[in-house]
Amino acid sequence: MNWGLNLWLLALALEFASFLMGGVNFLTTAINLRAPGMTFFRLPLVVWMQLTAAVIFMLSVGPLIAGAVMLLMDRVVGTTFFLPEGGGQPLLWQHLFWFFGHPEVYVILLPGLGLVLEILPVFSRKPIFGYRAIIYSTIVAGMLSFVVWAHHQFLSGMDPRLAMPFSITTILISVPFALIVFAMIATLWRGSISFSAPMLFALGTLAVFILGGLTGIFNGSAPVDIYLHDTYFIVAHFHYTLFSAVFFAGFAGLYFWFPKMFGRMMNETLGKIHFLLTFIFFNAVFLPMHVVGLRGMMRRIADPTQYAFLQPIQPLNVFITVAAILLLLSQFLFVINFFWSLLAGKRAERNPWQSNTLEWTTLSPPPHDNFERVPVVYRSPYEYSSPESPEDWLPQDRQLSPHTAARS
Amino acid sequence: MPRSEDMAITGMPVGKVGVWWFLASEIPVFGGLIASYVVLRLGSGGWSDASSHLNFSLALANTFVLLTSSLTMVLAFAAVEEKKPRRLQANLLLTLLLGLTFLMIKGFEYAGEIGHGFTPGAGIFWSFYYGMTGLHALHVLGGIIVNLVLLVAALRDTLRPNEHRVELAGLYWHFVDIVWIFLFPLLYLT
Amino acid sequence: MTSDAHRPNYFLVWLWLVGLVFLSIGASVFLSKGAAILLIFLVALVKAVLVLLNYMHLKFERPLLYALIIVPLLIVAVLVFALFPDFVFHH
Repeated sequence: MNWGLNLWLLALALEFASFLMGGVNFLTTAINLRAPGMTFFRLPLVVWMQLTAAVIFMLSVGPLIAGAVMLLMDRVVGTTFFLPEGGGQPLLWQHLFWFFGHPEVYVILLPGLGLVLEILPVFSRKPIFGYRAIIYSTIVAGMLSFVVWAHHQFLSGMDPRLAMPFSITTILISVPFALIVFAMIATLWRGSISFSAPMLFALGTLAVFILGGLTGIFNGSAPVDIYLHDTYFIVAHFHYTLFSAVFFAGFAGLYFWFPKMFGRMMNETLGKIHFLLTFIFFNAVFLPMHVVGLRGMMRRIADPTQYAFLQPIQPLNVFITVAAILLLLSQFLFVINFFWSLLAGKRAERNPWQSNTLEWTTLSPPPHDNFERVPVVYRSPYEYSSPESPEDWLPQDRQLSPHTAARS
Repeated sequence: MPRSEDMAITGMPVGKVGVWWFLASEIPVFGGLIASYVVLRLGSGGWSDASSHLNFSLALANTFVLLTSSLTMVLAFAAVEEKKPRRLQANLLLTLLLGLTFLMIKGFEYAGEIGHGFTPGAGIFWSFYYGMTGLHALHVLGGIIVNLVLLVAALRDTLRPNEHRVELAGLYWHFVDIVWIFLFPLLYLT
Repeated sequence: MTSDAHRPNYFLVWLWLVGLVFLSIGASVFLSKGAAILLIFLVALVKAVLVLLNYMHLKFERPLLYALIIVPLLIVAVLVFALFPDFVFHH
């Protein structure tokens, strides 16, 4: 008996149980424990995205937990859920897995997009474009995410009649995300943009995610996917979507909130070099993969040189490998920057970026219980360059004097 | 600091909102299992024959045990509201014992079925039978542990600041009861 | 939280639950298969709603909690619906 797989399944079930608890925490906090005046339509977008992600996760993971229990029982106590000779259905596992597996990509994506949506207005000194439209798009995307999963299974032997409806829903889900991307671009439009390290990574997310989103439309269409399924084109697609959400947006968030988390600033120059190298080498790795995939190279093969039809693209494969190593090496700049700034970075004030959201009103790093007193919220989080304020920012918790309020 | 009995914005205690979210996420867990059972059963034959080998009277007894334990659990909650610590302790103890009775009867039932050769590998119906009742029994066990923690606190008189937990544990216990309300007809009555 | 004035009669609810168990057993013995299955699952639904409303006090709660039950059930319904072509209509 292969105990590695059994332990993996057990870990999967336990990990998801723990994620569920995390989701309960996020949701309960946001529903019940908001600051006075913090209505749902004054929440920062990253909170909305995190909440939607938590809901998607909590409602989609159940069938996979059930599937993991079933698979574990198949392997340990001899049941036959997925074994045809005992009356089971192997395809059932694929359905239960992808029923979670596709909503999960939005669980990964949404918080990353949320980070970018926080950073863009701060460094463009403009209110976010289409605040409510972004929220509604997020909710619509969350709902659609439950009815797209079978686009991973066009070649699994499932009923071909399912291909058309799942193609339609998959292409449909690009609409809310296109709206969010347009809102991001419109937020930048004619802003006073400053290209600091967090902003560069946020812009990098935007650029990379657009390309990944576009290839997603090809993949969602069943006839095209039958050709592209399990090739490097797919690998390129999901790295353009998820590498942008996890790495670019994740780094953007780290550079942005590092002063709040640790009370020191990160080194800007190192950050900019880190961005430049990451952006160049990322594209050097994954852009050629589209070509490699279209030429028919499949995923998960040990040695592409043993197939004659893959011989001509071998130089590209070598190029990708070298670029991947360089991509990894350029991350050491971040590691150095992180630890050096942690120990010897410039002291951060409360609000180094002149941002509006509540976390910037407290000390850096925040004391126990976060706030010295419970803040009161008067407005939405993105009031930049507002005529009501002498500065070009207007924190959520600043009460305007009656004189100023009357003038506006 | 926010505490679980705070009723900030929604007017509901924070703990209650959290438990309901947890239960909402439990619905697709059993839902996934039941959905698989239903479609596989509708798509192939021979399930009723297998089902007729189940020990119906033990399952019926278990149904009454679990329904009654829900009653004692909700009476424990009522005792909290009426500030009757003795009745709270008695009802928690009864709930705990009924839960243990359920597990014992279930174990006895499993032993009998395995003794007749109906092991988990005896066919797809038996896979689902052991999978569904096994996952449910694990949930019962979890509920018993929660109730035990509450009972010990109640007996040592340390429950007072956290008495709302009886209601929260009750929500979970009733949910487990509802799952059985559906498993019983799905497995034994059709 | 409930006050004494409108707390449900828990024991009466328990009697209903027990009575409904006997009703579904009767249905499985005396009715034709199709009618029995329909009645049995209708009864199970009624029992679940009785427990939800009375023991879990849903009838005193806010709409948010109703949504927390209905939305996951809809999602499970989507799953069942999508599994039908592969496992029920597969011949």
